[in-house]
Amino acid sequence: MSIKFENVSYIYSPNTPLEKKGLDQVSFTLKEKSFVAIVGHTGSGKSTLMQHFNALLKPSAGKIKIAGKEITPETGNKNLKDLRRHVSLVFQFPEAQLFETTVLNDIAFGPKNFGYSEDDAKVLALKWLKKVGLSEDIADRSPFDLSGGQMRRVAIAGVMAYQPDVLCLDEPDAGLDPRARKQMMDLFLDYKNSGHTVILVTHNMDDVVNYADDVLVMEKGKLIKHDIPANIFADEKWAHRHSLDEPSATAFAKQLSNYQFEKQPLTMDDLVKGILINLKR
Amino acid sequence: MSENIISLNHVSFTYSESKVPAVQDVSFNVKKGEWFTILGHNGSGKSTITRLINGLLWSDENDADSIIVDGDPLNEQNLWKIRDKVGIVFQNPDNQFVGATVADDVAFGLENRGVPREQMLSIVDKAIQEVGMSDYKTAEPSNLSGGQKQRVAIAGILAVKPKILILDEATSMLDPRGHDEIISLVKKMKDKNDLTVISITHDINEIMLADHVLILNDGKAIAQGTPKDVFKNEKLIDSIGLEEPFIFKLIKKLIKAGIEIPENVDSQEKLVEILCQLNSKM
Amino acid sequence: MSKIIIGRYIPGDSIIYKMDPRGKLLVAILFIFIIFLANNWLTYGIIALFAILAVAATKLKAKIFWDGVKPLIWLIFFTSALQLFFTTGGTIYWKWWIFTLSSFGIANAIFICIRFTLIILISTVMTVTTMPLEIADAMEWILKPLKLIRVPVDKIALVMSIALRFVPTLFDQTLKIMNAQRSRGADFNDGGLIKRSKAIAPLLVPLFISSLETAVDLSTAMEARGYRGSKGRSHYRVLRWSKVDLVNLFYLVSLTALLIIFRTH
Repeated sequence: MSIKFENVSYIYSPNTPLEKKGLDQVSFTLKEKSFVAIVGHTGSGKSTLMQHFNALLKPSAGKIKIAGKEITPETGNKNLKDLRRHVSLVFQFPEAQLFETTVLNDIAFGPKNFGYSEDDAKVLALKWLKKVGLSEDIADRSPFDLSGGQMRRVAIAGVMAYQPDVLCLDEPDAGLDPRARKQMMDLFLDYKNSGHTVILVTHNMDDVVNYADDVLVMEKGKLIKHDIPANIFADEKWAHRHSLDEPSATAFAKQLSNYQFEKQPLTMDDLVKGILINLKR
Repeated sequence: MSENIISLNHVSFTYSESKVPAVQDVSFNVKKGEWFTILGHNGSGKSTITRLINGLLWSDENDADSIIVDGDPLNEQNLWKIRDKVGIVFQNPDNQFVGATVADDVAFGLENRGVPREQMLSIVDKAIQEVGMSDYKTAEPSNLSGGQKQRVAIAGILAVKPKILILDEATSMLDPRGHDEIISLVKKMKDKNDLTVISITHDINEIMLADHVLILNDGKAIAQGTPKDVFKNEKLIDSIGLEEPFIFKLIKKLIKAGIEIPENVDSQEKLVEILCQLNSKM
Repeated sequence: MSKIIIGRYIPGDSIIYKMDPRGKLLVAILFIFIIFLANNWLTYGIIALFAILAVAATKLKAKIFWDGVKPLIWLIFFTSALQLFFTTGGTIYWKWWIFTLSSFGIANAIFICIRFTLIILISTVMTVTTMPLEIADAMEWILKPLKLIRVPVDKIALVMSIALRFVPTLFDQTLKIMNAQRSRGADFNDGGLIKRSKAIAPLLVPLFISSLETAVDLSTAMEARGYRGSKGRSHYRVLRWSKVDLVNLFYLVSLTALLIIFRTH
């Protein structure tokens, strides 16, 4: 069961003066249980693409196969719940979705909607509260008394608690400090390793090379490249032409004018290794 | 150059609904014309300090020498004078855009100061041009990107000619392109308009721009100095949940791998230079 | 959701767009009063002609105006129907219980129908050719006399312009929260009244919180930028009358004159 997009197009406000192409003939297949990064500039169609994964947006043309379901322009609004139980989205600044009186209730909201009993939902909520690195002590507090970073975790726990097969995240680390960022990324990597698919929309190329096994590059609503991270940054000219940022290590390596790297360094460890090889020559 | 433009002396601040001070006995001096960075994780008290500097919040015990801005102690009489000198770009691009269009927003500060309309017209045009937004003069905020809104915020501040520009996590909600645009714009404006810049951030790599860094943790100033000095204390940095800038991390890994990097290497340029030298000798 | 466009301003560049918003607002308001001068077929014809002239002068598609009338069509029919069956006088064609169908009734029903439609058309002409902000400016100007009785017109105007400016922001935020809760399995379209009203809390609470945050941020930013009340403030945006506004004046005066001449006394 892979995720498959076939010629998917999406048009915003069709037949009005504001008509705009959001997605343009996008086709790809993603392997299950992989960590996929979606990159591209603001307005490239990344977020539009993401909202197709759980049918918040339905294609204007084309077909999507995901979690054993099929989404086409004709797909109705009924029965989407089952799809969303399996494929879920975390939006940018997800703390905006908190509304319940206690942290635990808020995390349990999703599981309850998806058919878990009140008790089961609470058990799951408590489990995921701890998994995202928060203490049990805050379970009964109002989510609005927490710090920004804690609210972000609660919001993410609220989506992970029903354990969707496919977890899509839109820059979940925006505005967080470095330690919180690292913890969060490791949590998603764990989730992938425990047999789920993680799809991450990001601007951070260091995260792409450190975490992802598959990359989709979007530009003006089109999918312009689909490959493993190493190959995305291998063609320097291509990356430059599409003004794609480079991982820090790659950018640094380029400045070492009298060095030769057999393989382009993507991570800091690659870089150190490459420098050592050069110096020992 | 060595004249202090901002001094904080043993400043504490407690929010009324809280028992624990958000800022606790913090002292520092910002020199005229420097790029001063305040670093700390979420909730460390960084933004509270911004608000204390121009009297949006009042410190717990406000003595005559608690907070001094450009020679004037911060008090009720000097409040508006000091606000004229201190411009703040806040974090959320949307929530500081007051005007209905770009030009209206840039004019807001001038309107508040009662600047006659004839003067306003040229000041506004010039400020918009300086930040490279001339093509968007009549654009509405909903049609602008986050980075563009922050540029407008900077134009609105430049229009009233402040001496100090505070960036209060001004780039943390922007994409990398927006971030780079704003940073290079601020660098340019700093030189052009003789500004002192205080940047509040947790973007580690941004501190490489700083002349002076102050690290805050739980409302306390725990380290001060040049970027290199501050990051020497690895344990301290790690204990408060900060990461080192890319370059410092790389230097450490290289040393660990047995490559000799001289003590005085503290920037990307110097590291590149030394590595290239090492390679040519072999 | 995309159907809701507050203000309904549609960019264009006909003569109506160049007119001063104060003039447009004033004419739109006065039109509602003047229309009551019409009391026979000829005067209703004249006023309809003038309204259609104004619509044509916008150079916009007729559909835009039809969209303006459409949501109110049942109200128009209902009011007309009341006139149709309850007016007595003239020739009586049909009578049953309290209902009467008379020649006066038919005429009145048609007049009401025309009157309503024309008022909607003229208001639409104004709202589609004038930016919400300009309308707010024009309202501030019209309300100015209230300053004499200490109504804080400046502050009201600032509040109005900020409110207008944040409509799209609020709209985006609503959509975002709805999508986030939908992803968590919330249903906004399904179920009965109770289920639906329960579904609204996950939307309203976050929306309220984020609006509150925006308000706090905004007031901090305004204060930091030197806002200290409307006293001593100058204004960047000013409205200026120009020659095209004479067209507006001419339209209003000639319409009034014609109606007064041709109405039945």
